[in-house]
Amino acid sequence: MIHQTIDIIAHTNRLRHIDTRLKVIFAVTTLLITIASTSPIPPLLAFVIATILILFAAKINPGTYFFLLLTPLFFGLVSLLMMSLFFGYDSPLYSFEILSHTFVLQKEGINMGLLLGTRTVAGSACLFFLALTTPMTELFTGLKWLRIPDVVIELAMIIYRYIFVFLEEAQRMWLASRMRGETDFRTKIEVFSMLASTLFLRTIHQGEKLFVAMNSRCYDGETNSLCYREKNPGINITSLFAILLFEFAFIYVTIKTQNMAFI
Amino acid sequence: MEGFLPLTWVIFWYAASAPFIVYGVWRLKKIIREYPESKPMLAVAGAFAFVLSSLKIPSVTGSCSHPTGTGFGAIIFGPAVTSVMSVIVLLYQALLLAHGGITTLGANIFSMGIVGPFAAYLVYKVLRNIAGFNITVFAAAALGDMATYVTTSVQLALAFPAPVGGVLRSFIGFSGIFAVTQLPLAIIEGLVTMLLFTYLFELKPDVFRIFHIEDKATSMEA
Repeated sequence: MIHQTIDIIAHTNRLRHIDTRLKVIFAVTTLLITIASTSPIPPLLAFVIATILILFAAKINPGTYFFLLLTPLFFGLVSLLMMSLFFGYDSPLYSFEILSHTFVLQKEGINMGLLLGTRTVAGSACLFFLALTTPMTELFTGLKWLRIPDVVIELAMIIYRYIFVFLEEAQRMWLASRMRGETDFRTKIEVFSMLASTLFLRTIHQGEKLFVAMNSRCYDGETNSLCYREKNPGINITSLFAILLFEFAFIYVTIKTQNMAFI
Repeated sequence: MEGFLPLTWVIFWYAASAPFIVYGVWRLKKIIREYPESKPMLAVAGAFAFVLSSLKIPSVTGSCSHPTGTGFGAIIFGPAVTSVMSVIVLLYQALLLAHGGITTLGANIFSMGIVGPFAAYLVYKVLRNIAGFNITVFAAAALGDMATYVTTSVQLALAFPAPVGGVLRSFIGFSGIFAVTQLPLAIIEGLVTMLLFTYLFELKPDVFRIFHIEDKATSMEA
């Protein structure tokens, strides 16, 4: 299953021990500049850079990465098709007929579609960079840094822990129901609802057990834990500077290529 | 999908979601202060929502869809808490499943985590005393789902208004596509949620009491 794969990769890749804050700053700023661009060139650039980092710096299996990329690629192509057919009005490039209905490809539409398509793929590449190089547990530190309330972070941590427990459980139950063979639509719905309700009951049971376990360890509504890391390690100035330099160059390229179109 | 929305709308939807989330966190804190045992319970329920959304619902057309589960959450926990949970679940979907994204998170929270649960809850409240429980749950889940898709169409239309006819025309375009593909899914989600509650009451009739929603349980037994 894909979530397990992403989690394992996030724990084992070569960029795992780089400061989380640096990775977050890099991924998020690049992402923001990418979606602010009005030409397909900056997204393409961002895509190339993110891909190089993912494949060569983090040394992630290219097969896995391209498998992940299939979804945004498909989505990008669909939006290119839709935009080129329905967007724009006075610059037809090409028209064709299907079932006595005339479709016109518009110039603005194609440009808009290309922009959206490249932005989607590049944005996803930036997201994959973060998802594939940073384990969730590290990101909690980042969330704390952003002053997210403790309740939310704590909930997020317990949810993260239990996702994998229940995934296994759900997988087993789903497999067991599949083993009984293909059925009609009605039964499928019933089986799915049964699976969901049983899973929910098991989660309640697990929640009760968790509360007992926490209670017996003097839980009073707050989870306090010792921070075993170095106390507030300083951010690496050189790396931060390099990232900022890159982002400024990227902003410059984005401004220079403003409204530049392919056709 | 990541990178689809322009920057201004990214910021706008984050800002629009913020007050609801702040309110949800406040509610959450209050619930946990009153009943400390509800925290682990809410957490496992969040994990359940994630697992449920990564399972595929069988669908008529052959394509598979993911249940949003927001109707279920809104009925059991109330809409505000569901909003906060959906933030966490959506973030995990982006980072563990590569579904959705960080920039589109604000818009997704608004359509799936705020409009969906609040619409479902409203339908639930209104119909609860008029119709039977099954019909109420079905309507709440299905309409909550539809409200989510309508909001998504509005969000897309606002971000990409048609050159001729503007926002309204592209809204008709987007919602037309959604209506065809999502209406059957909303009905399926309604059916699944309805059956889910039926099984829950069969197997564990005190399910509502666990979440301290007694009044719902009593109205249920009638």
